[in-house]
Amino acid sequence: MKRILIVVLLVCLVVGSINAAGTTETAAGGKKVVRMWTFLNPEGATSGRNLALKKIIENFESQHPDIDIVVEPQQWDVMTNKFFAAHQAGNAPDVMWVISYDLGSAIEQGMLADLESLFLNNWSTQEIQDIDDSFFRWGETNGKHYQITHSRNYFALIYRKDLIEKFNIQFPFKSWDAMVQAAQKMTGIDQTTGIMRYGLGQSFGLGKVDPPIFTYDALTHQEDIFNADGTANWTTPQMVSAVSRMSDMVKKFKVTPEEAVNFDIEDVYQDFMAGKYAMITGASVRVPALRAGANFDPNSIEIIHYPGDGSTPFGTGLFSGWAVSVWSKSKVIDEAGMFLEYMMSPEADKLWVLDGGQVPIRKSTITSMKDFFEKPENEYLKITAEGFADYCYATPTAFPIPSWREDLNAVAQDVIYNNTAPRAALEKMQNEFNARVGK
Amino acid sequence: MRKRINLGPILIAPGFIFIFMFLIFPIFFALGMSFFKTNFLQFVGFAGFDNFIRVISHTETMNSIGRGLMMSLFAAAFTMFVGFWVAYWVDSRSGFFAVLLQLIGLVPWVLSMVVGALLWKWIFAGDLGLLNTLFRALGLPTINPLGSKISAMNSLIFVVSWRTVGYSMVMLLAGMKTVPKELEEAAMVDGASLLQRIVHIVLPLIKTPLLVSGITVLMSNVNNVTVPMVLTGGGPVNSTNVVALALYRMGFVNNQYGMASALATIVIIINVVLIAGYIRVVKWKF
Repeated sequence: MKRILIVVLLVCLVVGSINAAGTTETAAGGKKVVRMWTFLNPEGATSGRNLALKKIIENFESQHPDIDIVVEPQQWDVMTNKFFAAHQAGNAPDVMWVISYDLGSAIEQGMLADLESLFLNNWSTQEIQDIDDSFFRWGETNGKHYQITHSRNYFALIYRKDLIEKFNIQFPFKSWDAMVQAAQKMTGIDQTTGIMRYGLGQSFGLGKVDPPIFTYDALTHQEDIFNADGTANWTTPQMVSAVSRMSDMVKKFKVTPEEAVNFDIEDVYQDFMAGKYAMITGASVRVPALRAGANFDPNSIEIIHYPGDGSTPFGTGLFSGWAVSVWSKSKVIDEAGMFLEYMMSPEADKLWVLDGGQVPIRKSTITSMKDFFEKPENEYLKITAEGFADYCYATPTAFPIPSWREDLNAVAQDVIYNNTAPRAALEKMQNEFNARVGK
Repeated sequence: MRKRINLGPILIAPGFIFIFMFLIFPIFFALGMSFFKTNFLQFVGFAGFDNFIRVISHTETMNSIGRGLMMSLFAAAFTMFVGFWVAYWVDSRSGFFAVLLQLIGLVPWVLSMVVGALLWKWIFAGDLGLLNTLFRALGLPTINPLGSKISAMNSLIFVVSWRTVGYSMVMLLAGMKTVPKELEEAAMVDGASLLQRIVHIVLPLIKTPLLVSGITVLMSNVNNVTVPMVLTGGGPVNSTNVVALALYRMGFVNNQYGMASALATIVIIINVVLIAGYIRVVKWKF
């Protein structure tokens, strides 16, 4: 009896060890397994980017029956940090969605395989021209490319057209002050829902963080918020003025509730859908989801660039996105490269647009889907593309910029809650950031 | 004569390997890392005590340690107080409601911490929150439990306590079941008040479960990162930035793994002190 028990236990141990050791690159039936970390979850998806990814994976697997794409969904705000840790531990996914702000660090660490050796060397000049834009060149190092940007994102003003019309507001805004005045007009009790509606929704919490609005205000008036040596450039008169204006929005004009110091960005999106805000500062990729969840006319949700400073019609928004890359130490690097290449194929690019509501990667997709982009409900895609071309700031990739968004939100909290002078609050967090990056 | 096979080591091997890989090794890895300069998880040079000095000289990090301990102590005290009275009441009853209360009391303990914290966040949310909706319906003025430094900390203590009160109730109830009813009855005949009976009879006789559950709850609170992260995000203005959250952010948001390891070592020392107290208590050496 004991002998049988020992044999059973040993078999369990051996089987367990084999599983734990992880033959992740080979599944049952000899298929190659490509693991991918993304915040999307294609399992059971019925709409949006999840559905687009689901269809793309199904199409790819049907064309490559020897490859299995396994998606391991992650939380978007911690996913890239986990990737850094997994890289060091030698267990990173084969395909990784890297958050834009950490792309430079990932390249510097040698975590990403260059696309030239994976597939770009086999492409014709014409094919490369089809995807060659600022996103493609983003993170380019020594002539090599390391990522294809998906979920291309533009941080701008998301607004309700019905309220702009109802309050007879001159639109688009000519200046930041005009935007605040419009927000004031739209602040009040909503007659339909009975809830207090604020003109401008913002979040300054440190949970799930997007850059605060004063970043765009400042970038409209100064070139960069970082210096060439990787230090923060946050104590400029433009930054001080932008923080003061943000503080006024909350405390003087009351177009943003003071509770914003506790909100994270997901709270703002949720509350916008419930009708709490007339406008929010947010991401263009969220427009389809906001329309799907809105408890008012979904077609009234639109996006517009931040106001300009008089010399330009519009101000600066933030260029962002997910740098989809292949892990440099992947054991199935060729298969991972094939999938990455397929994810931006003409066929897949159309799925990202039609099902995912995304701006396409290929110029040829825009041409072939001209009628689609001309539809009024897809106006936000045109504005987003316009933003990418003319009104975008991209965070630097030449040096690491960890937690800059959290630092700027901490500035907002300090000014709003503690009544700290904008310059002092900015200086404090600038020093904190510079110490963190070793400057 | 057949050779005797020693089954013990084989049987405990899987559990030991698991504990070694996921508990013992990471502790020593973090301890080692705390003495090195790091680039993400790579060791790039010996740092000596630099990481510890940087942690200790960082005012907000030190504040987070004090804040974390204070929150943990208050929450544990609140938990034990409420848990004791609920257990005392349940112990004196035997009906359906008493059983139901025990079951309901345990729900927060077994519920996912993220789900529990999110529920409370929605309840406490400003204009659209359940609490204020209720207040408006009753004609009461609305409140903002997460809006100020003090109320946010009070809310955090409340939610952390809510999670653990069922656990302490069950532990204390088990202890109370061992207290002979005759002792309390005799004291009642002698004219002892409720408070006197509790202070002189019940508490001394449930000292061990009281201390064991108290220390367990305290340790659970010190290391709780989920509730503060979901409920308040550490705000407003760091007022609920407890040490577990500061540690998480230092490592997984700021990528300062060397400093985070040094802070983790300090937290481990705090835990070791609590564990030592726990071991003394369970071995009846107090």
